[in-house]
Amino acid sequence: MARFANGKAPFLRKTDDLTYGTQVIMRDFLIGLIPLILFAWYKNGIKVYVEGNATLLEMFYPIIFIMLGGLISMVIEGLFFIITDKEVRTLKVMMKKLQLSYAMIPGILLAMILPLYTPIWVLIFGCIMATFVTKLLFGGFGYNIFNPALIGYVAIAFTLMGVINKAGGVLNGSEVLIDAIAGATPLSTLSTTNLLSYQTLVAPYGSLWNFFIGTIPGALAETSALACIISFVWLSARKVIKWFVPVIYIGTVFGLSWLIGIFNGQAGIWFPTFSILSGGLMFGAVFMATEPVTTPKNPLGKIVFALFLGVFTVLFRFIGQYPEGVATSIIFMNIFTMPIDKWTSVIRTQGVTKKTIIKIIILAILIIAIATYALIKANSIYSASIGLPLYIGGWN
Amino acid sequence: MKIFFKNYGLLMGLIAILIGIFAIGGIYSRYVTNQHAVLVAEAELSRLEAEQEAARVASYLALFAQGTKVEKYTSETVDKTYNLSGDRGEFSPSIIDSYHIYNGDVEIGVVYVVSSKGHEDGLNIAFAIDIATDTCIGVVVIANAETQTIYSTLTDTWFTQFENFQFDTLSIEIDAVAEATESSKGFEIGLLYAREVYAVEYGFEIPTTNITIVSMTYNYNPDTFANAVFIADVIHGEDNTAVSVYLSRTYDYVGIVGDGVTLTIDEQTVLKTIASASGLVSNKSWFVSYNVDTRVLVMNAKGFKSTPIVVTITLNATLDGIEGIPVITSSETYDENEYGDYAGGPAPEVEYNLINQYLDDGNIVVDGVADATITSNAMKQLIYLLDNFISTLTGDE
Repeated sequence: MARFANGKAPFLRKTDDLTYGTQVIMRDFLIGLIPLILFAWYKNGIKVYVEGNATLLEMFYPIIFIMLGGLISMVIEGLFFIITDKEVRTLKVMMKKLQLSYAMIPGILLAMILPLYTPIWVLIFGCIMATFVTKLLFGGFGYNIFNPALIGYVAIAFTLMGVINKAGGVLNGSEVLIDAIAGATPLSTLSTTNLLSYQTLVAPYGSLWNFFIGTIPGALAETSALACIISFVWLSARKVIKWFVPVIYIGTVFGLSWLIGIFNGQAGIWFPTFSILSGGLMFGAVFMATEPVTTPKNPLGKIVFALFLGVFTVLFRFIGQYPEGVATSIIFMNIFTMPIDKWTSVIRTQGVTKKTIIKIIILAILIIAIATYALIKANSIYSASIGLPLYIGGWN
Repeated sequence: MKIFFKNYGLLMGLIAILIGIFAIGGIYSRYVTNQHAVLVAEAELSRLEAEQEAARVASYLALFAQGTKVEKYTSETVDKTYNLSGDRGEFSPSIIDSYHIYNGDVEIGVVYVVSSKGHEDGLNIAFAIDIATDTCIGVVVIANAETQTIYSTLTDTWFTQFENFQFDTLSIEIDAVAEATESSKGFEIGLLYAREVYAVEYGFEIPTTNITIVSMTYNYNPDTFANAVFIADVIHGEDNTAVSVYLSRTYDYVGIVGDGVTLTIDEQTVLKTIASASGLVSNKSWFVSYNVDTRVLVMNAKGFKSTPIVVTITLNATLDGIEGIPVITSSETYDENEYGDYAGGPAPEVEYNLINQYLDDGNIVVDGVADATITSNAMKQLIYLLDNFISTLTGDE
């Protein structure tokens, strides 16, 4: 039975209370990170230690690294407050401000999506880019345009990835001993070999079950689809995120990847499954694409946003410098959050009218065009191309 | 101070925390990275070794036309000692690795990787043996620490003698390359040892004959010493007949001394093998000729070069000493790898040095020249033979 509010409008929900609501959301958000953090510790610390490929000190490194990310972000934000706000002169005041701005979250998220062997100074650099440049310079919590952790990640990826690889890269102490893996993540294997075969992309890492569980090489805390799904269920149940955003995002990548597989002689479901379980797609879909500040507010906008994310992620995987595609597509779409919100609000409130039909058509054409271009780019990479008409192939 | 800390304490505290994270976290991060680097290096080494082992195994398998599978195993331990070439003592080879070779599930061969010794230790050779025919069908050299300029004289053609080498050959003998006798001997030792291990593991009977060397000495008889360098007292045949035989410098059978039952062909072959391996005599120097009228004795000594040193000696009229200084012709070179540190003059300085020591006091115990060991040893042996020859002429012996 529907519940109705009594009394005169406007009606405020409890969660509309800025302080209370945001605090609860952020608390639930942090709780949602716990499965991934624990899995990251298990996979890169405890398991490696038990297998005899790490010392006790190394075992604690993953969890300390993630915590340090949060601490560094807090310190940077604290320093910013002290310098810019004359009222912040005591620890108590500063802590209160830090608590309200959720200072630790960008650093924690950034540490989770970096490779295990990222030097601490690189993490500090990334935290400065995330917290100071992306968040604080734009006005602080609630005013940033881009996802802070992703900007930190991209800044590192474009400038210091060589340093990270030299320091050890993504392979933990056990993975480095597996001959078949040979220093590569599944997506980088796809990127370097351009071989669309199960034996090349999945077999070296065991099976797709390993992809689902997360025992494959990758960034510190983004490899486990299972942990992401647990967090997704928790965050959706707690209404911290809209469930359909990750579903549409991942579903779009799944569908397009399936088409790419079919066009290239791999009709099996393994390739789209591989595509959604590889890299940081699950993590990005659950924690980044749903971020309340930098993504559209209304549901239709979120749907459009997620659809674009899906097609851009597939496109960037085939035309980008890096094999991942998730971070760049989310940052790219952050730019269009406001116009999408505006257009979709009109469509949502006015429905399909003469005035809105053009907007709907434009959005649809854009999505289809980008998706088609992604398919063509993928098709140009794999020699087993069979499906596309010649005149489209000529666009390559 | 209090006001300063009140105004800037928090700022300084945060900066200190950031610096602390940078420093301590950096040390921690560096420690983890270093540990990982060690692990990666070990993994790389392990990978490299695995690749090398895989390549080796593939090369073993390639020797067997019907081979489809290789299986590593631990072979029996067989204690066996062999004489090295050039009076360098004895050596006990060992098995490093051993592999069964299968065609499907049927074993068709075995590969023994033997650690032998040529000029240096570490001459590791894989001998592939066909168990149906008891034949060595080929070798693969895994590693060697030989002098490469010398080792390179062992050509592909030379290695073909290991292909289809029947193990039931009465006496295994590998044709040595003149410039690389020590390396050649190392291969022969390896093959002999592989046959011993094969015999133990596969019940193969090493062919033999009943012949034993009682003693061996040098032949000082000018009438025969040119071709019959050694005299060996042997017991042979089913009734253990004792007989003295002449052997050439390369231990080939020459004939019977005096009267007696001659040796069979098999006995001659085995005698050559056991004589060369016995270490009872040295073939580093030998008599070439002696002219009774002119009292000129010509002797050879085998130093480092394949061309022997020629020493021409004129005995005095009473045949109990040497007249004048011997004439020495030598093509020895002391700047070879063997003599890398030799600091003296060119040949035949070393040869004259040693023989002059003998002429000075008539003592056969002479000092070798540093860093010219092989030439020195050859000349010492020559002096020993010369002294004995003179003693024989004067009837002292």
